[in-house]
Amino acid sequence: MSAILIASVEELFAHALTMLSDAGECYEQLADQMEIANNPEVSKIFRWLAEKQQQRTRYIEALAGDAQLPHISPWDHHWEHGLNPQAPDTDVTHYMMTPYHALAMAAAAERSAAAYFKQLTDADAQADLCRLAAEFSATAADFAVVLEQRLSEQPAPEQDWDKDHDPPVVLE
Amino acid sequence: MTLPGMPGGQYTADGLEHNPLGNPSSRAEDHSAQLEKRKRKLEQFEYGDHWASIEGSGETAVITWGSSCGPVREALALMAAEGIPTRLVAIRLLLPIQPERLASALKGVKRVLVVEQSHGAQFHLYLRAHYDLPGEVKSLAIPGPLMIRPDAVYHRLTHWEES
Amino acid sequence: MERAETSPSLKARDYKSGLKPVWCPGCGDFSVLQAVTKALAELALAPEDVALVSGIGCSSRLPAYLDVYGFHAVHGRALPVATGLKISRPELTVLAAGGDGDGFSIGGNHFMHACRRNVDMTYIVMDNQVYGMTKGQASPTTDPEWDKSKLTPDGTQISAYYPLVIALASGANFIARASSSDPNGAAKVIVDAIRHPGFSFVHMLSPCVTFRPEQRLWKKSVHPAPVAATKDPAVAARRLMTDDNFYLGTLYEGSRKPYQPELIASVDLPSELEAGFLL
Repeated sequence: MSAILIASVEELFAHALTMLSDAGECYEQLADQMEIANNPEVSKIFRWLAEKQQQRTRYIEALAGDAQLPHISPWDHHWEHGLNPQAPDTDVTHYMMTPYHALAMAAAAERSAAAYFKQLTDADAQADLCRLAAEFSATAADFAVVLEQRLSEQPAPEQDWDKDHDPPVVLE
Repeated sequence: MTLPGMPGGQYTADGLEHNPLGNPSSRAEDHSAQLEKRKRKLEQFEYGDHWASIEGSGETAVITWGSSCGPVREALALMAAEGIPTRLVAIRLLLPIQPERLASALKGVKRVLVVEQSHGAQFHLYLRAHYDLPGEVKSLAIPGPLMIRPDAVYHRLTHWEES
Repeated sequence: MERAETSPSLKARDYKSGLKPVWCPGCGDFSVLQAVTKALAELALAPEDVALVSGIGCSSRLPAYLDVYGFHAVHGRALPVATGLKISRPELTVLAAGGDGDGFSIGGNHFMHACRRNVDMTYIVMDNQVYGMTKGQASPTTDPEWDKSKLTPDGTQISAYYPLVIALASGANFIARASSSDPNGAAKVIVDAIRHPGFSFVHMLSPCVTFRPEQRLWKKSVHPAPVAATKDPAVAARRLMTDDNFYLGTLYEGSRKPYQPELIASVDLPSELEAGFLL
C-alpha cells in the first residue's frame, strides 16, 4: 500500500465513501445479529455506530458535491490485503459479547482508518488531497477518542465472559 | 405467482416454515397459520370423481388401493365371466377422507373385502378408523415381495365362508 | 415477458432482502452474503434475472436473505434444480449454493455430474468442515483427526474429501477458492466465476464459529495462490493436489463448451404452467 496509489481527490472521496458505507453496513449487520441473539445492549451500540458512519457518509457526500467519482470495483481499492481499514474486525463477534468488546472493536477500526488516511498525507501528493486526507484522518482519530472514552467507562469483561451454562453444543 | 425474470416479483420458495410473504419464520403463530392454510387447501380442493376408481356393481365389493388395483381388477373380471357381479372401489385419495362418497359407492353392499399388499393390514385399519363399512368385512393382506395374484383375490371371494 | 429496459445502478445492499439472518454471530456466511451482493452489483445484474438455488443447512439459508428469485427446499439437490432452471431459462444468471455436507455428501453425486454436464452456472459451497445445523457432526471435508463430536470421539479416521480435485476430475470448467475473511476478494472470484462460461465452482472457506471455533484462525492461513490460474487440466491437477487448501483465487479455467440443449417448449405466463398441473 502506498499513498501514491491514490492519485486524485476524487479517488480519495471514492475510497472514503466505500470505507464508511461498508463499515456502516457491517455495524448494521452486527446490530441485527445481536438483536437475533437477544443481546439488546450491544445491538444498540452497533446501531449507534452504524448511524455515525451514515452521518459521516452524508458529510463526505456533501463535501464531494458534484465531483465525478470514479467507480472502483470492491477488490480494486488501495487497501492492505484488500481489506477495508475502517471495517471492524469481527473476529471477537460472539452472541455473549459485551459493550466493552463492541466499543473496543469500533475504536480499533477508527484507529486503523485514521492511520490509513494519515499515510496519504505523508507522500508528496497534491496539496488538496493531503489536506482532505488529513481531515479524514483527524475525524477518525477524534471518533476513536470518543470511543476510547466510552470504553474506559466500561468494566473490562470477566475472564469467563463467554461461559454459557446452556451452550449450543457440548464439546467434551 | 411470478416467474424468474419478472421485475419486482422476486421471492424465495422456501421449504422452511414461512410467513405469507415466503420469508422463513420460526414463530408459533406463523406455523399455526400455515398449518391451517395447508389444511384448508387440502380440504377445500374439489377432487371430483378422481377420489376413487369405482367399477362394477353387486352386493360384494372389494376396496383396495395403489398397485393392488390391477390384480383385483383381473380377479373381478374372472368373477364377471362367471356371472358373479362384484364392485371395485379403488381409493386414490387417502386423506382428506370422503365418508359420503364412500357410503354412496358402497350402497347396497353386504360383503366387503379389503385387499392390500401389507403385513399388518394397515389399509384395513385405516378404513376402520375413518369409515363405517357396511355388512360383513374381511381383510386380505398379503405382504411382499411377491405381488398379489388375481387368483388369491378370486379364491377369497369365491370361498368367503372359509376364511 | 416484461423486462426492464435498463437496470438502474444498484448498490450491493440493494440485493439484500432485508430479512435478518439467523446465523450465529461471527459466522463466515455473513461475509459470503456481502460478497455475493457485491458481485451482483458489480455485474449490474437486474435482481429479477438472477436465481439462487440452495440445499439445506446453515449456508443454504442464503436465498431468503437476497432480493433475487430463490429456491431453498431440497437437501443436496440444489444442483439438479439449478440445472433444470438454467437449461429451460438460459437468459437467467443461475447460482447454486450450500454447504460442504449438503454439496459433497447428500448431494455428492449431483456435484460430480454437474461438473461433468458443464451447464453455465456458478456453484458456491460454503465449507466449514462440519454439519452446523444439526449441532456439529463431521462432514466429508472434516479432518480425520477431528474428535470434538460425540459421534466421532476418535475422529472419523477417514481421509477428507477434496472438492477441488473432484471438481477437476469430474470436468468442472472453472475452479476457484475464496474466503469469507476477504469479502472483496471473494466478490472478485464470484464475478469471474459468473462470467466464465460453463459450470464454475467456488470453494468458499467460511468458518463455523460455534462448532469449529478454531476456524477463526483461517483468516491467518489463507493467502493468494502464488501463480495465475492455469488452463491446463494436468497442471491444475498437480496444483490442486499439492496446495495447502488455503490458496485463494481462480485456480483453473477450462475451455470446454457449456452444455445447453435446444429449447423445445416454453411458457410465458405462470397460469400456463399451472394449467399443466390441473386434474
